Amino acid sequence: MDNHWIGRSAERVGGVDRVTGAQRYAADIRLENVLQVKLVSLDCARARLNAIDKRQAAKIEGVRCILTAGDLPGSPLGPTPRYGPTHADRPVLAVATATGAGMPSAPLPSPDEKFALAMAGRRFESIALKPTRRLALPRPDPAAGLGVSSAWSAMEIGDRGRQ
Amino acid sequence: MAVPAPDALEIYRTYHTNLRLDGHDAPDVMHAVADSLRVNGQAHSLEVHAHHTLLELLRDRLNLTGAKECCAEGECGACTVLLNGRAVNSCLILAVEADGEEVVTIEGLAANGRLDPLQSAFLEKGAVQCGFCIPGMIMAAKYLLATNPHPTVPEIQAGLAGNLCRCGGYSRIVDAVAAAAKAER
Repeated sequence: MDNHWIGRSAERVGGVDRVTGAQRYAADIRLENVLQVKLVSLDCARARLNAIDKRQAAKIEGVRCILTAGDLPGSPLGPTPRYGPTHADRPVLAVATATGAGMPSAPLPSPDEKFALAMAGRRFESIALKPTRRLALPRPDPAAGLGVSSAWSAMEIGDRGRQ
Repeated sequence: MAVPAPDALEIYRTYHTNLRLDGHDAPDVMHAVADSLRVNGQAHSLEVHAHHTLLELLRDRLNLTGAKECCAEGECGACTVLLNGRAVNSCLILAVEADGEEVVTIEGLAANGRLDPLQSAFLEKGAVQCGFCIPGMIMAAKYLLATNPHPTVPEIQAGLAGNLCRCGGYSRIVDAVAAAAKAER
């Protein structure tokens, strides 16, 4: 009988790679010709998403597609994929009633980070705070970036404290 | 109305201007790192942005991805490398500051296919789980053993205090460092 495991330690799979730095984690992988995805986030804690107007973003050169929750395949936990069983109340993209500030509502894949700074036009109502107010968003400016995009840009130039 | 965040380009321009006022006249805020930068024994000569960190230089320019970017603010130790023999958070060191200095990363420890005693000890003691913190842990331990070859357990814990392991595998990591110290005795 093969009992060569008895009395000796099992070797950690990938152990040598992990002590030598050779192990590649997701952030260590460099790919050419990738699309950059810009997640467009909600900027209020609780809101009813009335509509997502993709037209402005679609006009920006380089934007390949605009995805919203409706474009995603369903999952066993709901019509929209969730962040796993422990976050079953959190769809990966905002659905009709969004329950978290910063919840992405529309990723914009683009081959160029510059264009990925654009935001999709959105209309939503803030439920808890101001039930009837519609939040208008500034016109998208692909050169400057807005909202969350600006945070990313500020980090990119090495100034993390500014945002 | 949603309040627009500060204009990123404006921030960038301000950053530019301030650097120029400080006397940096290199165009486009690029700085040459002369070939006196040595990484794992190899000399490098390249231009880097003034604001790029040593970690970015290692990972993005030299493709040495063993040092990890995790918190990027000196909290987690995943980016630890040796700078002139001292353990530093490479995310807190500017690339230009490393000019003329000697850098050793996790990739520089194993020589000719032979693992460093610390690397062997981490494997032997089962100190490696997901492994993300391990390059930083080993580099911090390398510095610890260089300055204190026979540390007590509390000294090992203090020596690794700036390195976080989210798997929570600290006791085996400490065991591994102790074993490596013993092996070199």
